[in-house]
Amino acid sequence: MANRQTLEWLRAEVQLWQKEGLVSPAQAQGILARPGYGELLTEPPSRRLTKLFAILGGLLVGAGLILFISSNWRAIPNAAKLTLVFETIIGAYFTGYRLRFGSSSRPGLAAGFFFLGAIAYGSGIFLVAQIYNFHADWRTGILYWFLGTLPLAYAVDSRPVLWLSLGTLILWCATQFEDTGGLFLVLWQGLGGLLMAASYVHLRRLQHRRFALIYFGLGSGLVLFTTLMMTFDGIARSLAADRATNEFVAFCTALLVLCFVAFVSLSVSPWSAGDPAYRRLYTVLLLALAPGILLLTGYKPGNAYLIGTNLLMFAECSGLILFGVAVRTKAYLHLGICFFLALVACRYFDNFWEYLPRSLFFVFGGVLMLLLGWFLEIKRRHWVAEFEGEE
Amino acid sequence: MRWQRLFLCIVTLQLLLLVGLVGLQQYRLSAWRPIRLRVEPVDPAALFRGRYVHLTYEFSRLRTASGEWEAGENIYVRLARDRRGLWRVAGFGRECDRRADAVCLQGRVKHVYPETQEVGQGRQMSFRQTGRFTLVIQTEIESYFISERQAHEIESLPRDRYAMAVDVVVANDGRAALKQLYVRGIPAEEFTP
Repeated sequence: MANRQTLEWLRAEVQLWQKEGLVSPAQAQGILARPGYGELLTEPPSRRLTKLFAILGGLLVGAGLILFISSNWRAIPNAAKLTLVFETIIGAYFTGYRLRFGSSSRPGLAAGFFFLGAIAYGSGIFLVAQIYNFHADWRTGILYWFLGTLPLAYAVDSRPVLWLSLGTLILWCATQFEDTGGLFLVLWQGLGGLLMAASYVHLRRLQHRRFALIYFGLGSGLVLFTTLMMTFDGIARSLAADRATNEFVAFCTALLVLCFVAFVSLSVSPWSAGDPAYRRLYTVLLLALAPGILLLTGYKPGNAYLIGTNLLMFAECSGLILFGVAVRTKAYLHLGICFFLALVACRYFDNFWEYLPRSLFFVFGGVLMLLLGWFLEIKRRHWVAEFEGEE
Repeated sequence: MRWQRLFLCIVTLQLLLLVGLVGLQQYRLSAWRPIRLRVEPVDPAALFRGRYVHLTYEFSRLRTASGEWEAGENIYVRLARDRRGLWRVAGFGRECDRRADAVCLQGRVKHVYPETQEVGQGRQMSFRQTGRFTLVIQTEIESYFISERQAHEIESLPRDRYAMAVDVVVANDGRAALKQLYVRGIPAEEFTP
């Protein structure tokens, strides 16, 4: 019997066949409308609501557990605290397992329990670190959290667990090299690129579209955010002044090289031959690594650097918008538009805050945002209508 | 079935990691050599783990005439016991100097600052380097986790009237683990000012 993953893959393939003229729109609809397919492809609203409440419940209980640990009640012996955490982990996973793989399958509820189990696992690591007074700068625990939850996300096909796992990886990258100040942004840039490359592997090789969207969204968000930060004069100069330790440079270099290799491979490999939009994207993304590489080599940013990063940011936003249109994915379109608006807002503040009277500054700024927002909304609706018309 | 087996495998590994961390620390606390050090606390908070007392020691800042130290390098501090039973700095270097009557504590050079001296007065005042350097050392035994209320109380105790010390265990290779913080000889969790 087909599962949801296989059907997601089938839907993406049928859309490609239709684009290439192999099947007509009526045939494509007929394939996807076969008995049983529709239910798996379209989650009923009631199931979505159950899943949402279950995940929120898991999140609240997990947050309560972390707060309980951080309050460090000495009245409760350490053995009792450890027992509570272990019981929560085992209980949550066991309940999730029975709900998911048992005779009466309730995947929506199971998702909440798996999420709670993943949070409890992280809490357990931090509880052990607290009990035994590990150094407060010990960040390896966050890495253990990531390594334990990433395979779990695949085993139980859980997007919330994947979000948690990738979130811990991003947090570890930001905190592991605290001595390097803001240079972790360079690390985030490389990590963002790798996540975007991983999204393509999920889409085409693993046929896991839902995970592919998460990887791409997080990855492109990281790349855009770090490039946006590098467009600020103060931040760029501060990054140049931050001292990178040898360990950081080695780690960052390895990450950026891996990213570079991934992008070049995806740009030229036969895998992506049928996806010209992805090929163009990964070719352009090679440029996105440039600001970080320059900072790592000790380059002192000046006006040329700032102009370059602003142009690069504009190219990245436009590229993501066009890419979203090409692959008919609204999320990418919206992300590109949001960051484009953020770029315009930041440059407007930077350039006119000191030179215009305050009242004129806000009036012009407001008019500009209204006009830009109106124009972008018209374009966005036009593109989304095109996607939905074809679907 | 394959995914179910994978799930069970992952959960087992997660639990083994936690048990392993506990077991490893219990082994260290029982097998490594115990020593007592004098401390000076400060009071911040850690992400996910709550309030802790940041401990600094005599060896947290070391003075040297050698300008060859760099941030990120490993450093070994040799400690010898004084008449009161506290372990004090007896030397430091890039390698562990193993002696029967001393222990080696491994640390990392976090920062290197050249020492300066004020020259002149008022508007003519400037700073001249003395040729000596201060090494800021980071060790594994600088964070003691305690409840919020107690952390604040301990931090605000006047140093000259409330002597603090820690029991630490040290391995042969210089690694160390914190066991217990004392205020006037009383465990910090039981102490009330």
